[in-house]
Amino acid sequence: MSGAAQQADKGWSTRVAQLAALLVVFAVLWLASHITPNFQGPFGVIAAVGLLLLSGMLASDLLEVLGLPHLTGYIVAGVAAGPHVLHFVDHDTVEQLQVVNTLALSLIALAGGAELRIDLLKRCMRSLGWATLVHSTLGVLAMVLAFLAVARFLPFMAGLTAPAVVGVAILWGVMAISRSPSATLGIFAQLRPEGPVSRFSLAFVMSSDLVVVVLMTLALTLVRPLIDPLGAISLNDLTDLGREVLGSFSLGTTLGLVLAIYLRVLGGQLLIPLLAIGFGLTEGLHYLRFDPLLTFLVAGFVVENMTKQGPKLLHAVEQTGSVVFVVFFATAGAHLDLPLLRTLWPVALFLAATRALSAYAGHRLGARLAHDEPAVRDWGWSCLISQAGLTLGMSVLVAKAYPSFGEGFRALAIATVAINELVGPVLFKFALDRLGESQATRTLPQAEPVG
Amino acid sequence: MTLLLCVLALSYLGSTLMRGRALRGFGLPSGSEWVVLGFLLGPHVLGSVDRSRVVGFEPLAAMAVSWMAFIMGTRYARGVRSAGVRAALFGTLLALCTAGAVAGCVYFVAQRWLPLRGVDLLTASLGAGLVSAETTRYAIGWVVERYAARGPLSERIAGLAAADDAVPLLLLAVPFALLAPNAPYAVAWWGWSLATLALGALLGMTSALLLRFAASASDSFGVLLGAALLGSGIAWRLGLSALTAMFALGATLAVFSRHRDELTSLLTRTEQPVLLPALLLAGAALNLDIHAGTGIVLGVACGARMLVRVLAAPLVGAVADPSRRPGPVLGLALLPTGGLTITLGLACTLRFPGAVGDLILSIAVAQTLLGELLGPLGLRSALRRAGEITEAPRGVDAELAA
Repeated sequence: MSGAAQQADKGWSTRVAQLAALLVVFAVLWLASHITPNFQGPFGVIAAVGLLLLSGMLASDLLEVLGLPHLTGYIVAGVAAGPHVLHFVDHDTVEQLQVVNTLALSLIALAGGAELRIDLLKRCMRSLGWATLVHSTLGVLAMVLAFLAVARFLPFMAGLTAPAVVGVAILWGVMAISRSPSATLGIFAQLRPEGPVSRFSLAFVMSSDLVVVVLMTLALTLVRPLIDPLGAISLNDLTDLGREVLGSFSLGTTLGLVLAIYLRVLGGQLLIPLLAIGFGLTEGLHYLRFDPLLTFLVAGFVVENMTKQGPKLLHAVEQTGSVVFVVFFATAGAHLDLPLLRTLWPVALFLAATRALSAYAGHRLGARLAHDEPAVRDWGWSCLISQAGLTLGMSVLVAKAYPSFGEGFRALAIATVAINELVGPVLFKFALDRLGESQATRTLPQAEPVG
Repeated sequence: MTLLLCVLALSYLGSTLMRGRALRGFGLPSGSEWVVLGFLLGPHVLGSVDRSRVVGFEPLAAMAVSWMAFIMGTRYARGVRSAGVRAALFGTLLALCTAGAVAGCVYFVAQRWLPLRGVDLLTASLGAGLVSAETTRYAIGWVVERYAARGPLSERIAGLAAADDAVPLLLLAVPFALLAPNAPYAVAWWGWSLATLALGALLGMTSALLLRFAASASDSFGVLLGAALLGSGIAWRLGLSALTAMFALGATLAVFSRHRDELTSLLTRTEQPVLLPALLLAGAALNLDIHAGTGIVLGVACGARMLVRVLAAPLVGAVADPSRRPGPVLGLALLPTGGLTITLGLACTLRFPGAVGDLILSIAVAQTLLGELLGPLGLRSALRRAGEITEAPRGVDAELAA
């Protein structure tokens, strides 16, 4: 999302021009909205996508001055254009734009899988093992307790029974240990770091994708009897879960091989296949009751590690994603229920702070058990704060599975993700710069004397 | 529906595989085989898709034709530069004359043979004229590359074909503005036409400003896509000509952006994957359940276009090389038409569903098929007479001849 080219020196004249462009874009759509108020139809959606794309890119560049990550700019643009502020994008349009989520999540999963290289995993195996264990147990537990502590202040939890509250807290706990592959990849694209912390971060954030996806699948099944009094866990549920996980692995492997063949035959022309995968295949996987995130993660992993087509896939996903992610995050911003957020912000802040503390403590413990080197032990936690697409995607899954409280849950998730996304990349960048791992700060090795 | 989706996907794959090879022997220069394929799948032959389902693809078709106009806009300035001002003016004049003649003939014949009156008649006539205006550069390139033609005549015709896109794309704003756009205000047709141009130009200048700070055009593909979606979405929403707005956007961008060459090649790469599905949808949208008098109107429209081209032929020949006169057969060489014509026809069908849109699309398809039948033959013959074809055919033709 933030390529090296975008880091080119940008003076005040650039910012003024961008601000002027942003105003022009808003003015054009304001005029169109004024001429045809309450317009419904596909062309309104097309114009909205254009607006979110342009304004998201411009806002992200403008907010870069403040050191804020691009993702925040996209969300801010979405909030500004959305139904609660300027009303350029109305509720119905926002709902219709949710299809972009499906595409963005599949791209994130594909890219995440493709970043998981076997050699990288082998080098960090012990650290990854301990870190995964600690975060998946103690981390989840800490966040479950934190959620239970504030549950009474959440309007969408009102009326739920005690077991249901515990069920929702478990879902929150699992979701809270998800990280942000897209934010991590964005920082990597910007800083091009090399060193122990960047190696650990890449391996952990990408592999934790897999763990969190499996955990969330498990949690969604296991909490059903707690939330729905008529629901129960039966052996069939576990069979279904096993089928879902194994089926997703199998289909993901097949998809990865098909993608590799396609890439080998047709080169990098992946736009339409990615759209077909994002929209068509995701629907097909839902129909077959397989997990799309897991499937695409495995597909990306297979392409990277079992074929020579990984770089082509990553390049194509990066190209498509640079557009899709803007719309995805801007739509998330437009979808933000501001009146609800006004009520939720103290809780969101508390949950985000608790999560950061839990991530720090969990990482220190895991690093001590794994005997990690000092740099990883001291700063490895900095990559754990960011949250983005994967977390929002999980909140969408929860919202779909449990409509009674799902929208409130999702709004809270968006609020905490917004905070984490503000703080996380800044912290991660700070750590990499401080350790001298980013390209700009890395000391070049001295050339050996010849002769 | 599934069949159409599969064929759309196949058309994309085909276009990806065949990219860059069309001129070397695969496919027809006008792309009319895709229109015919769409027609075969449509309600009149195989019935795999009915009209209501074709309408379901409206947003896709609308975006495809808008994107095509955007690409043509970015390419237009370069086409004019390479053709030279004189050829560009001549191309523009020829396109204007053709459009005017066809529109006039259709107006007078249609009021006798078709139940169209008032604004509908005027819109249909203007639309018919505009879809008849262009000469496709691909047919010229197809013949020139196959037969290694070199000389002033082939250059003149290529330049003329590259410079005449602006006429139909810009003037399309008028028929779109004639049928009251979706607005509560009473604004004259010229007001809406100017507003359409202003929308494209404003977004074009904004995009050029943003691209100014980008390291390369490909880094800012999001800006291009965003501006195109915003502009075309607003234009379709208001009922204005999105093609005109997108052409203006592309042309403005090409004039003001320092990345114009990179931009043109970047967008041209997307042309085939967008054009072929659009041609397919145009074929599927073709409606032959129309008034009995339509055949006469089609004949008159095709005849009027051919007449103008034949009358203009001596002038083209004289301007190119006064010493060698290819004769009236050069008029046939100016007949080929293709992607732009079908794109315009499809846009009119989307904007004017019913008799008006059906008539315009039918004329577009008829002109394309006629140009495909006579154009390459006429051009080859004219270039031979002008002494610009001396070699045996190249590539696939040479293999076939062997």
